[in-house]
Amino acid sequence: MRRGEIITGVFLILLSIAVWFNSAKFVSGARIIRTLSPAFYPRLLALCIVLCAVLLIVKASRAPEGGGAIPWGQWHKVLMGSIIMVFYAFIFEDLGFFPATWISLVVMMRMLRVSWWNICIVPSAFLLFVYIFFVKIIGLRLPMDFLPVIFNSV
Amino acid sequence: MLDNFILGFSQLLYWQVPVAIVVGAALGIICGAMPGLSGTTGVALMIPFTYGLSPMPSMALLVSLYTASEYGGSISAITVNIPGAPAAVMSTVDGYPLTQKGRTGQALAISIVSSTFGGFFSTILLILFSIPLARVAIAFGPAEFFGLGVFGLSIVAGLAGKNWLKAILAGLIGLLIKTMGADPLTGNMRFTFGWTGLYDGVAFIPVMLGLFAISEVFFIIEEGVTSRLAKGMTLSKERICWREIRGLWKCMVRSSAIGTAVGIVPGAGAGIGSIISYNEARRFSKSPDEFGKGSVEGLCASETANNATVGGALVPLLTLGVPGSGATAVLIGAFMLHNINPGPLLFVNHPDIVYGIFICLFLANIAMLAYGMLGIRLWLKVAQVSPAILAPLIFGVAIIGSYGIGSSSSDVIIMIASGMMAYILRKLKFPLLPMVIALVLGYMVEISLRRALLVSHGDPLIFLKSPISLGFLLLAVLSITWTIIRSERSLQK
Repeated sequence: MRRGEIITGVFLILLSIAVWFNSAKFVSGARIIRTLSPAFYPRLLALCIVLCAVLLIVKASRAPEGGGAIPWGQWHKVLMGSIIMVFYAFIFEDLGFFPATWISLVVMMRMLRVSWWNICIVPSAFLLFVYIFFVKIIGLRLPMDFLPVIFNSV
Repeated sequence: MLDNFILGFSQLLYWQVPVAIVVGAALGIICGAMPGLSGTTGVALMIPFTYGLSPMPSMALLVSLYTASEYGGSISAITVNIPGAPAAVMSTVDGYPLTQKGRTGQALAISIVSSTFGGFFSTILLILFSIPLARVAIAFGPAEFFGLGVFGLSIVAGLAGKNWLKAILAGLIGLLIKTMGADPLTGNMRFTFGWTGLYDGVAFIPVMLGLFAISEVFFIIEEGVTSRLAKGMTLSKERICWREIRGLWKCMVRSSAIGTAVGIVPGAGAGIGSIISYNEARRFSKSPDEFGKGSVEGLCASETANNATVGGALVPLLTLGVPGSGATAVLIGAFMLHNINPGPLLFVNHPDIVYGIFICLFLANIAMLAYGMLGIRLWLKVAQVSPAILAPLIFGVAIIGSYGIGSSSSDVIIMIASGMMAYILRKLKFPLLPMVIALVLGYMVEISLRRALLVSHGDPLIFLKSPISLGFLLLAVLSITWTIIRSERSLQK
């Protein structure tokens, strides 16, 4: 944990420096007084983050050795879950909400070792509820893409 | 006043009004419980349905929906740790730990009773003092809003106990995230990196869903938990302990007063009300260390306050025509649809509507209480669902909640990115709640800071010259200082 906190502190300092320099582009127009500059508030926050990050590094450095490593656990499963989610985010508008969500739910449930019986029923029931409540009753527009012909005929 | 009450009661003789109250309360609970929907969205969605109704049933439907939605958010907050609305964020802090202790039923009972109490209290204040209270609404300018926002932010240090430094850092990161997008005063694009999805800034709902829902999904995937209950706990056939709920009456009264007062301030909202009320409840509590670990007082305070803001928010709406919250801003549209102008003359021109609304508020709270008590067994079933099945469903609901904001995949991407960030931060023992509070208050803090400096031509003393602002800032400084001193002392022991 001690090493993790030091790394986090350094990362936050670097982030604040990036914010400081990036916000130099924000000043717009010569007539706005300094305190109104769009860069004022982010730079104020960056300064506060640097101060707190330095304090975090100092505290972590003074802490006794040990304190345990960061318990990352089965990070490969989390990574797999992240990949599924990211993939989903980029394809669901093209593939359509319902097919993409159904596939993602089935894959996730299989990863979590849900029984095949539940995998067959739960995602379908959930998507049916979503269609009736959100699409038909509330009127939420979800990406349908190549399935509008089928759904519009229902 | 009695004559006006009789006029208001006479509105109930139309059968549409009681039906509208019952239907509105049910819809409100559903809107509040679903992440991504909210009272504001529900009211906006229902307005077209009121075209064919006369004014009183329309107002009854919308006001009941608004009232019940503030309670509805606590259901998902308590059972699955996902706040249904920003106002329910503080309910997750102690509501979900109560579920993990196997006390879901008790948490839900506390939530509904507290919400009803807060609703009744603020309605009584609304009836008796609406016109004098309206003066408070006008007293708030940019400097006062900044003070209120800073005071609300000051509690973040106390939310993480010994990790006060990480809590402050999480809060600062939340404030920084809120600066992304178009600058509110000049329109400059800040930290968008050319991505159009960020031009409107980072919406609160996708980030909230990411921080709570998606990170929780990651933990369930990683740990392969078979139960969300803490080790050794069982979700047995618990009886609701009414004595414990009765013992919370002081907390309810205090939180109702805070919620009503915050609701009166235009733009403050139920989220700020529940944050401040939670903080004050911890300050007055005999067992402050229990907060964050399943304290019934913490849950009671946040739930009472967020429903109490409803009556408060109606004060500036009815008396000045100024919306006190997002939902009341949409309600103005409903008023105008029926040729009613909210404002000072409303009490003179339409006393039947005004007092009819007051009576509807009472009845809406009763309907909400009935639904809440009857629904406890249903919500208990949600708490019993296996996490392996619940996690993918949470993901599905989160997608809908995020996408529904602006029909944009950018919000979905932001939600997933927030979830990944939250997972890493939780691993590093950073508390997430300060970040969420910062996201709720960040916009108000920045815009009021810059507006106040604009008004004073750059003179920072404006914040000290206003007694309200000075009071809030002093309280904030004291709060943070006391939290740091107490934390360091306990570390040294």
